[in-house]
Amino acid sequence: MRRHRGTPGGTVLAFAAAALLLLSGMAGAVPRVPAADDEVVESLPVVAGWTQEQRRLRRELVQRPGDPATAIAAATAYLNLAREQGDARYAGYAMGALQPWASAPAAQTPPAVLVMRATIAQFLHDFDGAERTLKAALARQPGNAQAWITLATVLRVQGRYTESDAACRALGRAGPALYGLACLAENDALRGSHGEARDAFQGLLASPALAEPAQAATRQWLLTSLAEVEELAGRTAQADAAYRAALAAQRSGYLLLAYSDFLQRTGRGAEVPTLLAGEARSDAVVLRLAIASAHAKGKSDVGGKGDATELRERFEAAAQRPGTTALHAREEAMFALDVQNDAARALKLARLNAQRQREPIDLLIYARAAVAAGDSAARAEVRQLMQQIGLKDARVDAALS
Amino acid sequence: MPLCLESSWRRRSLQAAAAITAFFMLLLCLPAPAFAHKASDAYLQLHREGDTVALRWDIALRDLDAVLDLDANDDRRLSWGEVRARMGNIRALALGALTLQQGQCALAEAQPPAVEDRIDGAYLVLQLRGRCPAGTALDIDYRLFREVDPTHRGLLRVMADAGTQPTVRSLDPSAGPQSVPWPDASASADSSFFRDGIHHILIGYDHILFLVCLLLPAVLRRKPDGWEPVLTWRDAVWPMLGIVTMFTIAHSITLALAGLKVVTISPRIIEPGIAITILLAAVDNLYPVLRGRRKLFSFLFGLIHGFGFAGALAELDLPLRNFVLALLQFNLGVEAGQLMVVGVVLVALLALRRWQRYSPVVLRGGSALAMLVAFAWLAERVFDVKVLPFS
Repeated sequence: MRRHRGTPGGTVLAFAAAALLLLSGMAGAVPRVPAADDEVVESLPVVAGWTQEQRRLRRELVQRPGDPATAIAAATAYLNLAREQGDARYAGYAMGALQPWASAPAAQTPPAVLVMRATIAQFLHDFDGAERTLKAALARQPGNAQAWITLATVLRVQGRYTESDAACRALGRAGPALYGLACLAENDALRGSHGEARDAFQGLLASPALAEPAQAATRQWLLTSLAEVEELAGRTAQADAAYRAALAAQRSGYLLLAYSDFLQRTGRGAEVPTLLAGEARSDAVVLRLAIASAHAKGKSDVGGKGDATELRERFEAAAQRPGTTALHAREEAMFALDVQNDAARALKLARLNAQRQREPIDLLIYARAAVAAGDSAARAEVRQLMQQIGLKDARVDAALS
Repeated sequence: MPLCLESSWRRRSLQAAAAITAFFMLLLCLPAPAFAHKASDAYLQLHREGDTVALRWDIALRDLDAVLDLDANDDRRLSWGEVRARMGNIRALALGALTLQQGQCALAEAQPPAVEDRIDGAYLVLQLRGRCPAGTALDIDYRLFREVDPTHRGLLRVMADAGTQPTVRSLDPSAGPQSVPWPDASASADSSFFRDGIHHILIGYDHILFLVCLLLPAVLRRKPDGWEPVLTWRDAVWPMLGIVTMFTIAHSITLALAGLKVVTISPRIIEPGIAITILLAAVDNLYPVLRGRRKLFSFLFGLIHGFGFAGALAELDLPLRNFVLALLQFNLGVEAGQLMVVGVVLVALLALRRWQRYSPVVLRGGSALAMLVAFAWLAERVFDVKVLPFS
């Protein structure tokens, strides 16, 4: 047979063959039988002393079933592991430690167990479940500061600032003054009272007692909150200074992600890989690395890049379980917009995400996706939502203008 | 701003703690947001052939370790030997947590255990087989990890005869027995993506306009001194078929590439590109800019239109499982819709072709109109404004 080089027919055949190869590659993989007993098949999360700790927790759970303190200790340890590793299965184990009360009515469940359950629910983005459980706990134990601070956070994340204020004030009455003040200052900043919020955080930070090494975590938290106030106010240099001071106090997963986003936004994405080196490869961490590398290599996005490919596969694996799209929608929207350059998909995900979460980062991705997709109706939706919840954010305004 | 300082349960009471330092005390766990991988899933693929059931069951080694302490030497690395040494316990745990057909279906291992590396870690693969009464449905009671992880799910895929759509279920370990209908060959393909494909081309005015631009001169023949009508319908249909086939092959390729996310191009490039293809096809009817190579250009332009179809596809939320099948159905729907448009327009044009004013009115007037619309679309899509009441 004669070859028609360069004709459309030849090109078509070549393309068709490539497409067929691609389709056949989608079939399921064949499992392998490891060749030798000493072959390592899986690495478990490395946390100092975790093996012994896990055994002790499990032994105690068996020895003292129905003991709230034991169950809460185990749940706390598992939830901390879930946070450190960015692996939601450990949040499931945390929930498992509270199983003895799974079917008990709230009135017969110790309030501390309810608060722990709500904390896990909040981690798993079940905000309605968390709110309901916290209110049940607080009805029986109005002085539970942990419940108030968690409730204030759950309400704030949903953009319900007035209700969050009330929880902050109750927190101030139930627990140490610092928490109540910082809680209110966070809401003030979101509403645009940047000066008041800044003064509040700086006032708290000026306390001499905070200078002690033991208070590094509190200092870090207040400084990160201050950096977020400056970001809301659009004061880039001051935000950078506050983030750096926070990092000097203590590294935390949340802080590193917030600072990564700040660096990316201010054109310093090249610093992100160094900042995140050594962090557990959670979806959020891999996402920041993928965004940084997508921007570094120009905007081309033909597959094959390690972090981006891995993250796409993770999202696909997660999507196999029905009803989970909304849980990853924030990260997936950022991925679609900043790595895949797919504004339409990013907008769809950002819109879905904003039904559930309304933190500044959620409104910002919504606004950026609306602008990138050239969708003026979506831009109006974002403005309307900002107005509805009362959020003022210089970054969102800049994105929409 | 979330931060876990120290959990409050360690303190005897908040009031006592607050009394120590009235201003602050590291006792509150500030809630952190979820930045997590997927939760714990196991994968169950069940095939039925007559009264034989084959089940492939993939269980995460991390989950098995959490329950069974597989890591015998505490080095946080699971060797194949450590896993094999505990296969008895693993089998007992797994088989004790699954009941099929109310216990009338005992499964035994058909192949030695194996490993599958997935994106969230390594999974132990159990391949089981048993003789089971088929019944009218699969009755399955799945209880794996019920005591340790209420968020765990078994993602079940039931396949019967080849070619049928599998039934997919997410099994909650504490939900009790579930009845899952066997996949039915007669109701195999879900036709909704096919309908979406037809719908998309029928409301995609830009694709239709492009096809019409290609069709307008199909019932005529270009002569040095102008156009003359073709003699029989065959003279119009065969060249048209070639052009439409090229367009179809090309857009199928790019639709597949974009649908499978192999190549992604921003709609900001594709959408104006589609307007340009219409503009060129219309101009070619008035002045032969494509120099008679309409098949080649149909192919090249088809590549661009395929990316446009993929944009619509992205909004449909295709199922990740069976993605390729859904993609194929969508594409077949697009072709069917296209065939309808081509058929109707071609019949109308064939009837009109001997009208003396076909060339000035239908061909030139129609092409000029198409140029205007395409130009307006181009402006809309480049400058992100709205000019026409349709798009």
